[in-house]
Amino acid sequence: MHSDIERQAQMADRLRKVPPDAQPPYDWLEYRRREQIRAAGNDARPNVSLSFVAVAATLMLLVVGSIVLLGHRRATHVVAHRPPPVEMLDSAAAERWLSNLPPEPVIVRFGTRVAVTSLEDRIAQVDDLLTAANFEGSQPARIAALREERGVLVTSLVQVRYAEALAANAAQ
Amino acid sequence: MGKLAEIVVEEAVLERAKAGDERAQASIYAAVAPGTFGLIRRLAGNRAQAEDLFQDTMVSLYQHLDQFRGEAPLGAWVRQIAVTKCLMYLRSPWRRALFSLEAPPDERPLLSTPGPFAEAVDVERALASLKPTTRAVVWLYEVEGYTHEEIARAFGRSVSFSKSQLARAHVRLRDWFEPNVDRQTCTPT
Repeated sequence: MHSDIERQAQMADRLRKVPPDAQPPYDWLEYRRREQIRAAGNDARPNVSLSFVAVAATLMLLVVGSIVLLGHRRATHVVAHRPPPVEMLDSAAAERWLSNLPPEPVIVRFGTRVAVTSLEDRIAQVDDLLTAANFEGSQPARIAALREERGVLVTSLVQVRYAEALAANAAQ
Repeated sequence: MGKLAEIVVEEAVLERAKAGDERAQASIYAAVAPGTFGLIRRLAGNRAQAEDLFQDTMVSLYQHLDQFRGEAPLGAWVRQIAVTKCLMYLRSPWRRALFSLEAPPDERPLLSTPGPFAEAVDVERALASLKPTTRAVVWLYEVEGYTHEEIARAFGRSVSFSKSQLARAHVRLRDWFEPNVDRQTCTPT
């Protein structure tokens, strides 16, 4: 019984030792810029309601036009992006391949999107840890382990994105 | 920098910020942003969502700064805004449906070399292995010092909900850090 309470206290100590701060995603100037964009968006809302019918009609035209155009472009999309090399063990090569992909697939599948965002999150998390490790001058072995994990995640991301491209191709 | 809830800003700076002085507002941002983002990052888990919640929190801070009466440190007030935003996010039905579809996180720690940095990394990874609600409860209780009653109120649930989530978190964290302890105990002799 006592050991349970002691272990719980030890766990609480462990949690409390974690640095409470995290580098904010942006500084004050960037925050102000984003906040102004957001405020401008909110201010524009009443005007939108006045011309709602015109905007809706324009959007409908754009959507129909996009569907026609994208249907045509989809074939060239997938053909243009060759599959990742089988021997792609190099994280840098994988990232080059990813950077040549369009930012969003033509057809978004919910399950795949969850996998992609989850992997991207974990890559960002490892990036944070790598930055902290480099900053604190951690042991090379630790940095290498983080880099290795990042490589595995990037390779997984490549596989998901490639499967996504193949699925888009098959859906044509 | 200390805990977010303990961050105090000078009265004069607060008054200037309330009056719209941008330099004063920037100095408040510099004081509270790291602790706020650190808290949100741990409660939300997902970095992209944490950034959105951080932006929402900071916007609320400046929009309602004139309502801050100074009865508690400014950091405690900001923390309350951040926690409310995060819990609204965790409670949303859309988000809960998404949680159930997400892949389970890694079960084992990546790094085992001793040292404070490795310890922090392991704790972060152990926290990431918890379900979002469980992680929020254990963080609020053990680190932020919330009581079970406060957590129950914040989640709109009962006190026993908070206690059971905390117990679940401890079991899971213990399994993470001491994977063989329970197995040894259960092995028949």
